[in-house]
Amino acid sequence: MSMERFREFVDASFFDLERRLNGAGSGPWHQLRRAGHQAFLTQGVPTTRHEEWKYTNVLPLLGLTYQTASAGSSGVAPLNLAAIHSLDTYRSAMGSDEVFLCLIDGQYLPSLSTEHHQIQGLSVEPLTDQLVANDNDVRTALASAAASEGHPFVALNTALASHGVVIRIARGATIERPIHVAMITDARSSDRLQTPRVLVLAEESAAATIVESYHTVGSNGSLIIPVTEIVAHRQANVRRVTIHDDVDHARLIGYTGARVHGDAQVSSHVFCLGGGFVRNDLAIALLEPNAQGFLDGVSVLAGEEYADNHTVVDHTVPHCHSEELYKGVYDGRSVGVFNGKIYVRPQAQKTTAYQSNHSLLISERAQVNAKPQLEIWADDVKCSHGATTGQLDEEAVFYLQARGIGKAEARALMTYAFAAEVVERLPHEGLRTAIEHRIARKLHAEPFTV
Amino acid sequence: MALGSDGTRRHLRVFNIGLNWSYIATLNEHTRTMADSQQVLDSVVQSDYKYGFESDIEQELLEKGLSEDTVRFISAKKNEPEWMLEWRLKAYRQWLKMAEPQWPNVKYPKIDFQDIIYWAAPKKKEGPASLDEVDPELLATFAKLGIPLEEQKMLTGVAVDAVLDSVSVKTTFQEALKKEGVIFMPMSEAIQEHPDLVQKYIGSVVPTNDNFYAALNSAVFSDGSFVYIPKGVRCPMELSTYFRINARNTGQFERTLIIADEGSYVSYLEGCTAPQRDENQLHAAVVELIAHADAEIKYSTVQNWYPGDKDGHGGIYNFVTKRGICEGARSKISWTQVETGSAVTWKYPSCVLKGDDSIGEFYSVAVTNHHQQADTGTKMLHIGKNTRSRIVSKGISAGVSQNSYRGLVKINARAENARNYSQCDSLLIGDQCGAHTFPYLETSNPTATVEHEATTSKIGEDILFYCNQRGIDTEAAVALIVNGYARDVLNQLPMEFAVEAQKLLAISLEGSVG
Repeated sequence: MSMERFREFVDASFFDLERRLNGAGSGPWHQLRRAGHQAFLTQGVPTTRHEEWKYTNVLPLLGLTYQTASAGSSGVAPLNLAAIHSLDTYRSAMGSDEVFLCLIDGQYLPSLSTEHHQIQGLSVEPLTDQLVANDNDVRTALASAAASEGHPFVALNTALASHGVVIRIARGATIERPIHVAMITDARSSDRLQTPRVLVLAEESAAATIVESYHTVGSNGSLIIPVTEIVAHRQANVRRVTIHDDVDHARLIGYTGARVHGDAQVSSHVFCLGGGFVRNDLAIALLEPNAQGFLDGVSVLAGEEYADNHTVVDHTVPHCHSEELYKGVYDGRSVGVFNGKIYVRPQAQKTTAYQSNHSLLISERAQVNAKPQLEIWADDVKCSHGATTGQLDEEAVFYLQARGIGKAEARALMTYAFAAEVVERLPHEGLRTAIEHRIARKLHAEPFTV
Repeated sequence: MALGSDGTRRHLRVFNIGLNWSYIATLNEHTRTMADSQQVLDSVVQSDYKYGFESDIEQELLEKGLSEDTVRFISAKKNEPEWMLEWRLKAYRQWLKMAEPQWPNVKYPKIDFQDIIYWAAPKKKEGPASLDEVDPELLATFAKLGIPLEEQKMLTGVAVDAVLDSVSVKTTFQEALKKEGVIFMPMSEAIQEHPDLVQKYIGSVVPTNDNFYAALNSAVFSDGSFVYIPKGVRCPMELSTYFRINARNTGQFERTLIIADEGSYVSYLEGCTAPQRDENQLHAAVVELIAHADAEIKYSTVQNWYPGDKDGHGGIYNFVTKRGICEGARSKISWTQVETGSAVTWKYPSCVLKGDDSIGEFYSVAVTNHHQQADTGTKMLHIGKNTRSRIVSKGISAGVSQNSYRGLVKINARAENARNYSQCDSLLIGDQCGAHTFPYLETSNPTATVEHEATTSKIGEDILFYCNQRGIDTEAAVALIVNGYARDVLNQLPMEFAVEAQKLLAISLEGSVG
C-alpha cells in the first residue's frame, strides 16, 4: 500500500464509520473525529524528512492491506485469551491483584474483564458517542491531552476511533490493585489496523496504577495505533506502566498524553521487550505549580526489533519538577531511538528538569540514535540532560571472570544489571519479577533478584 | 560554578586585563597588567556597539541582483580560468533548485537575493608595491580597526591578510612564509598562481550543492584566503585574516581553503568587525580545511559583526558553512570560536574524521544579547578507526535573545573504538531569553563510547552576592563569572585572541543585568 493508497483507506474507513453512526453523526465525539480526519489529511503520513520522524520510517508499515475491525467482522472462532502467551505471562504476574480490562480491536468487553463494580472509587465504562455527549467530564477531557494538530497518528486515531474505555478514579480514592488494560488485535483473518482510545480521569487526590499491554493474535499483519489520555487533577497520583512485548510481526504507533494539575504527579514506566516495531510518544504537560512528571523506560531489543521512544515534558508554570531516565540494550540488528524534549515556557521559573539516556550496544549490527533536547525559555531553572552510548566495562567483566564466572555469563550479568536500574523503580512486585525474568531470558542470563 | 579563593583571584586578574586591553591587543600592551578601575567602569558603562563606523573608500559596484551574468561578471573581473567559471555556474544552477533552510531555531525577515550587490571591490590604483602607495583612506580604516600592519609585523609575528570588503589588500610576511614553502594568499591570486591545487581541493569538503548558502557562496564568492602548508612544515607564525564588511548592501561571500599536507601544522585566526548600519546584511562564507596524515589545523574565530541595535534593528546575518576533513591517519582539526556578534548566526563548524586515529575538536562560546539569535554547534562524523572528538560549547544568552546549540555526533558502523565527549552548557541572564540544546547522537558501532551532557541554569544569586559583598558590582561580577564559565574555551584560543575575546564577552553583556 503506497502512501496514497493508505490515505484512501483512511478516507474510506472514516466515511464508512460515519455512515454507521446514524444519529450520533452530529454528536461531540464525531465533531472531534471530523477534525481528526481533516488534520490527518492536512498532515499526511510523515516521512523521514519530518524532524519528529527523522529516524523512523513508517512507510513500510503502511504496505499491507489493512482492515478495521468494523469492516472485517471475521466470524471466526472466539479468542482464547489463555493461549496468548505474553498476555498470560503478565496476567499471572499480577495474579489476583489484577483488575483486567479486555479490549479486542479497540472494543471494551466487560464479559471478558474483571467484575470491578465492587471496587470502591473505580468506575470503568465503554467510551461511546452517547457517553461523550452526556458526560461533561468525559467531553472536556477527550482530545484535551492528545491534539490531532501536532501528530498525524493521533489525528488518525481520533478520526477512526469508535470504541474505547473510560477509567475514572473517584475523589480521594486509592486503587491498590493494578488496572490492566490489554489491547488485543485479532489478525487471524486479515491484516488488521485498530485505533483504541483510553481515557483515564483521576479526580482530586485519587491514586491508581494503570498497566497497558498489547497483543496480536494470528499471523496476519497488525498495526495498532492506540491513544491514551490521562488527566490528573489536584493531588492525584497516576502511575502508568506500558509493556511492549508483542509478536515479531506486530507494529505499534502509540501516543500517551498526560495533563498534570497542581500537586499531582504522573509516573510512566515504559518497557520495550518485544514487538517488531514500536513507536511510543509520551507527552506530559505540567499545568499547575508543584506538578511532577517521572518518566522511566527500558528497551531490551534483539533480532530485527525496532523501538522509538519520543518524550516531551512541557513545563508551563513555575515550581514544577520532572525526572527522566531511559535506558536501552541493543542486540542483533535492532535499532533504538530516543528523542527526549524538555520544554520550559517563559513563565515557568523555578523549574527543575533532569533527563538521562544511556544505551548499550552489544552487537555489531545494532544501532542507536539519541536526541535529547532542552528548550528553555525561562532563566531561573535547573535543567540538565546526559546521554551516553557505550559498551560494558571490560575490567568489570574481568573482575567477575576472576571470580569464576564465565565470560558470557559475566557479560549477561552486567547487561542485566544495567537494565535492572529502571525495572527496580516499578512498585508492583509480581510485575517487576516478571519483567526481570523476561529481560534475563532475552539476555540469556539468570535473573538475579535480591 | 565554584569560586574558591584561588579561583576568584585568577578570574579577577583575567577580567581586569580583558577590560584594559585595546580591541586588538598588541604585545606591548600585554605587559600592562595593572587595571585602572576608573577605566574599567567607563568601558563597562558604554554599551553600544563600539566598532561601528563606515569608511568612505571609492567602491566599484555591480548593479544589485543575481543571474548567470552576475556570476560571469565576477569570474571575468577576476580573470578566472574557464574551469572556475564552469564550477561557479554549476553551483549557481544548483542553487536555483534549492530552498532556504527552515529548520534552524531562528526567525528573520525573508531575504531578497535580488536586492544584494554581489560585487564590490576597493578601487584599485596601479598595483601598490608598498604601504605608502595604498589608499590612505584604507590605511586609516585599518588604523581605526586597530590593525597596525607594520606594528604587528614587529610585535606579534602575525602575518595579516587583511580583507576589506571583497579584495585582499595587503599581505604581509610573504617572504618569511615563502622560505618555508607556505602558500598564504588571497583566493583570487591562488586561482591564478596555483590552479592545480585550488582545482583539486575547492569544493572537496563542502560540495557546491551542500546547502543553500554554500551553493550561493560557490557561485558568487568574491575572495578569501588560500593556505597550503607543505609536507612536514610547521608554519612559522599564526596566520590571520581580518574580515570586514564595508560598502552598504554588499553581502560578503568569503571562501577560505586551508590544506595541511602530511605532517604539517598551521594555526589560523579569523576575526571580524563591521561598521554600524541599519539594513540587514548577509554574510555567507564557506571555509574548507583538509588535513592529511599527521597534519594539524587549528582554526580560531572571534566573530563580532554588528549585532543590530538594542531593539533588534539591523545587524548581520551570518550563515556560514565551515567544515574540515581529517583525510589522513593521525590528523587533527580543532575549531575554536567566540561568537558575540551578528543579528542571526547559523554556523556549524564540522569535522569529518576519515583517517584512522584522527581527532576533531570544537570549542565554542556563543553570546547573545538584546535581540540576537544564534543557532550554532558542530558535526563530528566518525568514519575511521580510533577516531576521537571533543565538543565543549558554552552558550550565554541575555536580553530577549535566543541561543541554540545544535550538534551531530555520528559513529559509522566501521568506526571501531570511536570516542566522543560533548559538553554543552547554557547560562541564562534575564528572564526573557532562551537557551536550547538539540544534540543528535547516532551510533552504529558497539565499540563506540559517546557521552553527552548539557546543563542550563542562571548565575546563582549566592555567587553574585558573594562578589557584591567583596565590593564587586553586579555587572562586573557577571563579566567575571562569565569569563570563568567560558574559560575552557578561551584557553584554547591563541593568546592575542583570548584577550580580545574576554573583552568582547564583557562588552557584549553590558546592560544585561540591573
